[in-house]
Amino acid sequence: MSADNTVSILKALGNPNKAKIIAHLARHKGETAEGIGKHLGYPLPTVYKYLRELEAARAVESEAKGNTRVYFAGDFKLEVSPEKLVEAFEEQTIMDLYRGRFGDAGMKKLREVTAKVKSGKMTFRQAASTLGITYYEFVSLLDEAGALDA
Amino acid sequence: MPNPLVVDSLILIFFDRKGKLEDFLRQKMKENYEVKVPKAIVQEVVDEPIGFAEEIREIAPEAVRKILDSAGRIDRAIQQGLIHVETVNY
Repeated sequence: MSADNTVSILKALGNPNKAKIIAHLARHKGETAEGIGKHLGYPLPTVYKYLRELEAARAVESEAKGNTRVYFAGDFKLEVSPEKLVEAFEEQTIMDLYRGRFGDAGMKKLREVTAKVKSGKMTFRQAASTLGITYYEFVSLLDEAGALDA
Repeated sequence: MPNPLVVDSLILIFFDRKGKLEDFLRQKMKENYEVKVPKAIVQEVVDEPIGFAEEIREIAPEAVRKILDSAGRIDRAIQQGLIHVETVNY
């Protein structure tokens, strides 16, 4: 989990009302905003505000269902200890940042694209564009992986 | 009259990361080459890295330092006339 994400989730959990929403969604998967408001006794605008913030923190996920939107607790696990906080805030490499932004699927795509570049089937610029990053970021990733020395 | 030598971003980044950019550029100058890049290359190796560094300043200070140092060195080579930025007629 990235430092940004850790801080966002800590902030969300620091507000008991938001934490209750996450707990409610863990038990009532696919609940609507109206359902959450009714169950927890929060005004609907407040529920929407909290849900927006929780989604931004990736503590809650949502999907469209017909004309309405339903919510789920995010799949996160937060272990807080001084050591874990040091780990969360320690120096990030460009590869760490890429992994944080694009996850395992992005790492898989990076490996595929890098293999194509190495075999001459794709240019650096095509690779960067395919991954949705700048040319410089792509070169930096290859450099960190030691692939520029080859 | 020097011969034009158009280089790509990767050449500049590669030699810079090896700490040999200035040596490479001066060597080419001795060989009577004028190293040229289009404006788009400057964007890739100076402007975009600076923008990227700004984005990650809080979470990756060491990477930011390396990026800004590299962009600064390339920019200085341009200011010193070791790299000429101009429209390239391929």
